[in-house]
Formats: sequence, structure tokens, C-alpha cells
Amino acid sequence: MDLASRLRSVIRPGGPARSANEAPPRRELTYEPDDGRRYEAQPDLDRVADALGGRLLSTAFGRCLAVDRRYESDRWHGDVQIGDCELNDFESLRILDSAIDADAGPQTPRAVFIDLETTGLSGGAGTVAFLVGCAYFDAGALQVRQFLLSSFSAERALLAAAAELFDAADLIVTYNGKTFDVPVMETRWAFHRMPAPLEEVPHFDMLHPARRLWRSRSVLADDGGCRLTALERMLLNLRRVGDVDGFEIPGRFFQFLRTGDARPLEPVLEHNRLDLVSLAAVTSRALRLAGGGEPVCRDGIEALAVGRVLERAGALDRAEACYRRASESPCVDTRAESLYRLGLRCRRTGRFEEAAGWWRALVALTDTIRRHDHAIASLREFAIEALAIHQEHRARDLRAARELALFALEENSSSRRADGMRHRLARLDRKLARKQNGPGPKTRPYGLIDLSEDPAFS
Amino acid sequence: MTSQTLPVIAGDKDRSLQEVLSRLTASRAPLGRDADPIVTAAHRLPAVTASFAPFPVGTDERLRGALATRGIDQLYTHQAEAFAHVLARRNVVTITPTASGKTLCYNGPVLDAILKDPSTRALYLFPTKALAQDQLAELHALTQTITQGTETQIGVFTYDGDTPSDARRAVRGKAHVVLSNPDMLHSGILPHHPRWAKLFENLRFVVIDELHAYRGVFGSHLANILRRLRRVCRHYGSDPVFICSSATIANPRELAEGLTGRPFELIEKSGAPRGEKFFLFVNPPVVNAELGIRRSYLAEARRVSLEFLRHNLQLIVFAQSRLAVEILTTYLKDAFHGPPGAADVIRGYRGGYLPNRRREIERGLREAQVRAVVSTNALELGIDIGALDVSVMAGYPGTIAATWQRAGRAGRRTTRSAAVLVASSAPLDQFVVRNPSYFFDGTPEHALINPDNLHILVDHVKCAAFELPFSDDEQFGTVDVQQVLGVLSEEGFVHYADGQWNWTHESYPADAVSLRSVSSDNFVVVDTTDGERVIGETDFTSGPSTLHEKAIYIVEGDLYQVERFDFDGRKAYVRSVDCDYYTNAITYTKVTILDTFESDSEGRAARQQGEVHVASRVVGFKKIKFYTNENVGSGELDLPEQQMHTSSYWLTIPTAVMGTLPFGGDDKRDGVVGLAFAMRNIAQLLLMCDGHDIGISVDGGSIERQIRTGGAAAAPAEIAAEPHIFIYDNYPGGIGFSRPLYEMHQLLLERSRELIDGCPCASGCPSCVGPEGNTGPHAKQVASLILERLLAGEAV
Repeated sequence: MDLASRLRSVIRPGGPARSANEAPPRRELTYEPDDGRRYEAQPDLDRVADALGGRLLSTAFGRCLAVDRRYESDRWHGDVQIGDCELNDFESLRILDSAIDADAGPQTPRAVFIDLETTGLSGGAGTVAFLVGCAYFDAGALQVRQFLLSSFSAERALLAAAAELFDAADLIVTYNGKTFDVPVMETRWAFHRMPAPLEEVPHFDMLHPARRLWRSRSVLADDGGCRLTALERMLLNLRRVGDVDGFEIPGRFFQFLRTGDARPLEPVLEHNRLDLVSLAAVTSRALRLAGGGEPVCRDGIEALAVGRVLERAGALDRAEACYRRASESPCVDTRAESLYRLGLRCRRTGRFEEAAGWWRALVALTDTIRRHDHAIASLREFAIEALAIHQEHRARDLRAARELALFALEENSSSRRADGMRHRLARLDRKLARKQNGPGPKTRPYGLIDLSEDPAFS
Repeated sequence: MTSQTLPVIAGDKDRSLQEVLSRLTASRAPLGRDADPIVTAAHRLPAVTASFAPFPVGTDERLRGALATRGIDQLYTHQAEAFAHVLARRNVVTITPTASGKTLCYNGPVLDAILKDPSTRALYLFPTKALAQDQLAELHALTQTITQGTETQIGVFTYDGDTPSDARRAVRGKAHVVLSNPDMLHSGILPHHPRWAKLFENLRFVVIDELHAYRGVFGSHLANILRRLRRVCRHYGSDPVFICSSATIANPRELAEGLTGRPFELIEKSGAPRGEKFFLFVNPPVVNAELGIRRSYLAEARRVSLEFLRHNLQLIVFAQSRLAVEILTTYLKDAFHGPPGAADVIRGYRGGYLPNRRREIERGLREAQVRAVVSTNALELGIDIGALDVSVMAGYPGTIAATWQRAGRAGRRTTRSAAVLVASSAPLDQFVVRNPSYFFDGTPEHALINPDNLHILVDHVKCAAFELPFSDDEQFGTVDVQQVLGVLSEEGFVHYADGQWNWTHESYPADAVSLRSVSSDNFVVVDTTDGERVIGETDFTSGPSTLHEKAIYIVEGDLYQVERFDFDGRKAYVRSVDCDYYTNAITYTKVTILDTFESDSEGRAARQQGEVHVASRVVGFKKIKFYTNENVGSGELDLPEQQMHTSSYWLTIPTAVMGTLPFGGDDKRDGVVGLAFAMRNIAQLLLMCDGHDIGISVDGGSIERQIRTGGAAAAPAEIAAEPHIFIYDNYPGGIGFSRPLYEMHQLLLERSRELIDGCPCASGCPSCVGPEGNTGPHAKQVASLILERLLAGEAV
């Protein structure tokens, strides 16, 4: 066997040992087979630019293909208008991502949205960003610029052109860019040993706030988590038509490299543009929620999520307003969690009676559905315990506390909290016995409550 | 035996050692008629004094100062030589017995360079994570001494699968010395080289410790990984010096040059002192001469170990399997226990123990609270356990190199020590123990690699293309890589344009390569006894023979039976069972010659080597009872055929020899099969390879392969007039055993004859041509006669 046939027997799928009379396995090609050097010629850059409606930029490293599109402010994207998506409330960015320093940088920072299309998802030196999509607002309109790799030898030109645009950014906004897009770009610059312009620029990755704000939605859960296309459907009511599937994208680029025919790339560019516009729209929606709080929330579910985000960021009063709204939601889960959070807020701020009111409401709400749902059962248990603590230490009604402890054990004698509850019961019994037989309760200075013997507080 | 408590170590160890050795060697002349000796060899290796040399001129004072605080004011000659070569930017490989200060051979020049130029970077490769951890501790202590009270910082970090992801960035930025392993370099560092730009731009040293571990498939992979490493270094403008250390093997320089593609200086003579050492070979006595059955070697190892233990000597006992470790540990613990409430004085040690437990045992050994440790080869490599008095090997470690390595775990620089090899009844053990000069006077084995095995090469060309585009005049090994890239491009993996081949595939090719085998395809073993959990895996080639339905699968002494074997899904579902037998698959193998590369028919025994097609199928299995090895049942199986192209050596027995044998057809067949059994074991000995690295087949016909006894037995139905015995590389594409076997043909036949004729059994046993029950009554006689005539023919 000559080397080439031995190599084919090693490289071709189906394994090495295939006897001659056996039919070769059928292969499903996602690319055009290539006999090596058939398409050696450089693609004609001007023709590619023509086919994609782009133009050629000059850089120190040669020419780079750029495709510009402008989305005017009155244009609709789903049921929002581009002009309404402009980011203008940078204070609220800090609420969504505490790592962003709102005071640093200019008053109206220039935000650049970035989204890459790559030759693979694994990262590493062999993963190349063949399409670097960028977008920024310009006089109310969204300006999109996409840099396309016309051949591997043009990568430095692309990186230089992209770097120039990023240099002018005060903030970059991505979707999952902390994990993927930015490391890929950094790897490319490092590969060519070029300076990396993104290192110093603040980076807002919309994925994490999106998860906090909208993941609880069952529509999203059914749709593979928090993908951008799922978000745009839910928040913007946008339905893409004829969108290219993500798994097809690298194959289309490879085919372009082999044939020089840029037409299969057009849907990829369109896909990337839609991603950028949706990213801007979704980000502006998140900022509006963070800035506007309860009045902007479309329903109780959103209000609960926004409340959690605000509480995390220290905007406690606005968080509480969101919880109050959520506590009226028709969704039981939402209501239960918001009652729980309201109780905690009140207790932390010394409004003990009010807190007890929320615990009671939570117990009443969950009376009929207890135990069926683990999360709800756990909230209920917590509320009963909190009430028992309240009765024992604050209301000083030992009998009521004892009733609650018995009630809790009756409902669930095997949970994580049951042991603590048994201790509580025993202690309450001791206290009650002392009260009946002994010289009377120890007196303590008014208002000073000794919680040291209560393990729930340690 | 009643349980005893060991006395505290004290007194004159030299005298105790002498006493035990004379007691043991007293059994040299055994009782009874013509019984073979129990102690077959007692060798004395004289003490060697140290030879010193000064530090090279200009060695950094901070390094010298730090070494001085540890009592090192001058170097051993081999250390000074290594230092000088590295300073002159020459690649160097040092042959280092244990406890000869090999780490200073590389730590010295590397730290010296870092102190002089803090931008200097070094990469250390160890075959296992545990060794890297051990070296980290040592290097860390040394750098602390150097930098104490100064502003200087020397970053030393391990980078392996256990490094947490948040710590990885710090390692990439701060490490002067990165301690890693080939697997991590292959899949974690090279494919991400842009993140490691700082390391590669300044990489001045690559240290490869335990070089001899990289042979066969693993070595062939490493050679390709180092080709990739050198490409990446060229990209960043660096050209590191390689510093290697190896145990004693026949071809250290050739191996180092084959692995790195660079010329090497060899340092063979150690300047370290060594105390006197005694080396005994013990062959357990025959208890049934007809069947060639000897006393259990584990019981014999126990007896020997107890002698040393009773005389207050500290020892390490090596066993060949995890199971044997547990058995021996139990034996020794039963005989001895420490004072009540004290820590155990007898410990086991093997893979699968948690790191903390291992560290505790290692410390116990260094501090002499642990009196005996029973270990697998896990302690063969350089983990620091101090120097013990005695090394007992239960079973021949398989190679001369490994045997010296294990023997070296006992012995201080000045005092006496001893090593005892207790042979099992395996053919290899019996050959070695009955021919001590093979071990004491012979050259150790060659470590062989075949980096240009097409299967391995192609995988790494893919990885290399992922890392950096190939230019159209680039070389990669000796195969025409441009042609490899051409075929890869037909399948869409790469694309050629502007004088370069670029990677054009979504995948991450390093993930598809397993460094410990040719193909990363494997079978997973799922225990369904209680829910489903994965308890093991087996490589693709040996899957059908070990995981077929009804097979007994053994993990750490626990028995499982395979209930369902899902060949396409690559899974075997097993359930825990309690039974007193294990299974042996019956495999039919057909070898077809595709191409003969070399041929020599001078003399009577014609030898050839070339490319063959191997088709094998598991057709059934036997049930073998534990301990007695009785055949207690069998079953038939219908499994898909496995095929591969590989390289092979084969022997042709001419009609002139076959025709004149004074035996019938069946006996002739038995003789050829028995000869194949013996040759396989000798080939394994000569090639320094594991049993499953080679396969055997007689006459292109079928032969049963017995996995556990490592040999061949029974039988093609008829023997050809001019039969062939094939010994092939049991990996697709071959890993380079055929040529050396072809070269060693004469030696192979001579050694096989020594094995068969030197065996005291009457008519065949597992130690020579295979057990009589399997091979037929005249196998030994016929095999011996064939060899006699073949070798006589050679001599003419």
C-alpha cells in the first residue's frame, strides 16, 4: 500500500481495517469535499465585498472586509423601536453588575456591543473568530459593523481593524463574552502577538444578569435556559425567519474558504446582526428594570427577580417595593418567596410584628400545598420556625411558641430543621416548668433579648 | 504463627543483615534429590566511594549558599558534568541510580539561570501527577532557602488536571518553573499556547524526568507532543535545552534523541557513593515435579520478608498487582503488629489510596515508624521514602531496568543493603531466576518508540495544525507531512491557502487522543448491583476478550460477572458475584501477510518482518478455578471480528525440519504451539514490553490467546508443512517491535531454547511451553527438538 492509501485508511471514518470488497460507509458531509489544492487561489476580495454588501478597509496589515448596516431609531425590532434601546442609564449598570464602576469614565460612555462567530466552540489556538460583529449607538441609530475574515492570512488586518474600533469604547457589552468572546479575541491577539485593547475596558456581560432576571420563566427553562434567541422571543416578541442554525455556521465559513463563494455567508452575517440588535434591546430592557424598579415590572414574577437584584445591590427600599408587588402575584411560588423575603427584610430592619405578619401569611398561603413542592415546603418550615422564634423571644408567649414547635414536628419530624425544633420544644418545656414551679422568670432589662441560647441565631 | 510485636529498631543493622542473608543462603543447597536450588544467585555489589567536582565557575552565589546550608559544598561528578553541558546549551541525558542526587542535575542549572535572569522559564515533565507533587515539595523547599530574606521571587507551580481553574491564570503569569505531565502539555497547554506566551517566549529548559517511562505507545505519543512543543517554541522564538534523567536502559541517548529530535550528551557514570549491596534470587521449591508446580511465590516472599522483619530491618516489598499487595500486606500484618494503640508498622501502598494516606505512609517510612511497606510499582519511581534496608520483590518486575530501580529503593549511601527477587512460576520469572547472568551481566532492555506510527502521527498532526498552521515546506517527523496534510484536507480537517495549511474543523483534536493507547476508543464497565456506577474501563482491543457476556471481571479482588456486553454502545453491564473461578477468553486470530519488508532465509530458520492484517474474534471462553487452575466449564460466544493492520515479525520452520521430526501430526502441532508460547514470553523479555503489547499467531491459523497467563496454547486443527510463527505488535499501525525482533531473531531462538531446556518439568508447564493439559503430552519435547534443529542449521 502506498502512503496515501495507508493514510486514507487511517484518517477516513470507519476505521482502518476494511477489506476491498466492502462498500465504503456513506458519509454525511457538512462541507464540500476538497482534494487539497483545488481552490488555492485567493478569493476575489472585491467580489466578496460585493456579494455581502461590504467594503474594504485599509490597515497596517493589509485590507480587511467590513460590512456596515445602520438601524435607524424608528425601526422596529420585534415590538420595540431601536431608538428606545439606547443605553442611557449607566447608574443602573452597577446594580446589575457590581464590578462596573459607574463613576469612572465619561458621563456618556460609548458602549460597543460585541458578538463573534467562530470556527469552533472549544477555544484554544485553533479557534478563530471569522466574523467580529460590533454595534454602537450613533445619533439615536444603531450602527453595526462586522469584520469578516476573507482568508487566514488576512487575520492580522481584521484584528487591527477591530482593535481600532474597540480602542474607542468606554464599555463593552456582550452575551456570555466573559467566558467566550473576550477570551477568544485575547487569544487571537496573543497568537499574533498584538496588543490586546480589551484588557482595560469595563465589560458588561449580559448573560449573568439575564439569568437572575428571567431564568425562572418556564418558557426559558423549556427553551434551553437563557439563550439570547429565547430572551428576544419572550421580551421583544421577535421571531426570526430563516435564521441559520448555530451548528451550521463554522461549516459555512469553511465552505467559503474552499470555494471563494461568499453567498452562504450572508445568512451568517444576518444572524450575527440580529444577535447584536437583540443584545442591545435586551440590555436596555434590563437597565430599565434596574433603574425603574417596581413600576416598570410587567408582572409579579419579574418584580420578584428585580427585587432580588436590587436587594443584592443594596437598593433595599426599592427591593421591598418589588416584593410587595410580587406578593400579590397570582403565581403561588412567586407569592411564597416574596412573603419570605418581605419577612426577612422586616426582621432585619427591626419591624418584628410586621415580619411575623408576613410569616403568618406565608404559612396560610402554603397550608394547602405543603409538602408537594420541596421549595415551598422548605419556605413553610422556615416560616413556622421564624414564628416560633418570634413568639419565644419577642412576643414572649411561651405557650404559643410551644404550640408552633409541636405543630412543626407534627408536620415534619424528619427534616433538617426537626432536630433543632426538638431542642426548642425541650427548652420551652423547661422554661414553662420553671415559670410554674420556680420563683418566677428571670427579669431582664427591657428590650434586651438574649438570643445566645437559641441555636437558630448562632 | 502467633502474632508478635516488633522490637524497636536499634543496634547493629549491618550484623543483622549479614545474619539474615547467611540464613537465607544456607537454604541454597536444598534437601532431597535433584531438587533445583532455592537461592539461585547471591551477588555482592561492592561499595563505591563518592567522586566530587567543584561547582562550575560563575554559579550564582545565592544558589551555592542555599545548597551549603544543606551540607552540599561540592557536586558529584555527574552533577557537575550535567551542569556544564547545560551551561553550554547542550542537551543532556543522565543515567541515575536512585539516591544519586539526580534532581540537582536539573534543578541546579535551572535555578542558576533563573537567578541570573528572572525572565527565564522552565517546564518539567513527569510521567505521573504524584511525582510532580513530590518534586514540587523538594523544589519549593530549595527556592525558599534561596529567596529567604530577599526580594527575589521564584515561582514554582504544578499545572495538571487537579489545578483549580482560578489558579491557572496565576500559574501562567507567575511560574518560573511549571511542573506538569505529558497529558496536560498535550491537551491543556499546547492547544492554548497564546495564553502561555510568556512561558514559551522565555522557555530555556525542558526537563524530562523518568525518561525510561516513555516507551511503546506512551513514548511514541510523547515524541509527537515534543515535536509540537518545539514548533510552538519556534513560533515564539525560543529553543529550549532538554535535560533528561533515566533509569538504566540500553539506549538512553537513542531514546532521548528519538523523543526530542535533538542530539544529546550522555552521562553514564554516577559520582554518588553507594553502600555495599547483596542481591539474592529465590526460586520457590517445586512441590509437584510432574506438573511443574512450585510453592506459591507470595508465601515465599512472606517467609523472606519475615526473616528481615524479625531482625529489625526496614523493608519495602514490591508485588505485581494490587491484589497481591493486599494479600501480602495481610500476611505480614497477621504476623506482626505494633504496640497496642500505636500506628501500624506494616502498610500497603498502591494506586487508589487517597493522597493524604499516601503522604502519611511516605512520612512513616522516612521516620522509620513504618517497618515494612508493601507496594505496587507506585513506589518504584522517585517518590521520597528515605532509604530502606531491604527490597523484596515478589515476582520479576518484567524488565532488568525496573528490577534495578526497585532494588535501588533499598540502600543508603554508606551502609549495607539487600535486594531479594522471589520468582513466580511465570516463564519470564523462571528464565531470569535460572539464568542469573542474564540479569547481572546482560545489558538492560532497549526502550523502543515509533513516533511515525501513522495512527499516532496523524492524531498529532491534527493537534499541531490546530495549534499553528503548517507551512508548505514544513517537516514533522520522517513521514512526508505534506502528504498527511493533503489527505487531512480531503476530509475537511485542514485547508491550504497562501502557502499554509490551516485547521478548518470545529473540533478540539487533543480531546480525541489518549496518550496511553493508540485509539482513544474504549469500553466502560458499569456495575448494576446497586443502581448504576462506572467501575472501570478497558481499551478497545481487549474489550471483547475481557468483557464478553458471562466473563468474570475483577477489580481489587472483587468479582463481577458481565451480564450484558453492548459492543456498539461500548459498555459492559456487570453485577457483583461470589464465585471461585475466573474466565479466559478463547480468541481465534488470523494473520495475513500484506507486505514483507525484510527477509532472510539463510540457515534453517527463515525470518521475516513486514506488514500484516490481523483479524481476531473471541469465540468462547473457559472457566478456570482459582488456586487449582482446573478447567471447570466453558461457553461459546458470537462477537464481531476485530481487524487491524500492524507490523509483525515471523519465523518460518522449513519442511526439512518439520518433515523429519519423529512425531505424528498432532504432536508436531503441539510442539509448534508450545514453541510459540515460549517465544512470546522471551520476546516480551527482549522487547521490554507488557504482555498485551504483542500478539502471537501460528501459521496464519487460529491460536488461543490466554490473557492472564500471558501465553499461547492449543491449537490450529492441522499444522502446515512449513508453519509460521507470527509475533505482531498488538496496536494498529505497530509500535516498532518487529524490526528489533527481526534483528534479535537468533537471540530469541537461543533464549527460548534455554527457557525450555532449562525447565525442570517433565513434559511442559506454565513456565515453559504451557501447561501439559493445554498443549499435549509431547509439546515440550517437540519444541525443544525444533529449536535444536533450527539452531544447528544456523550454525552450519
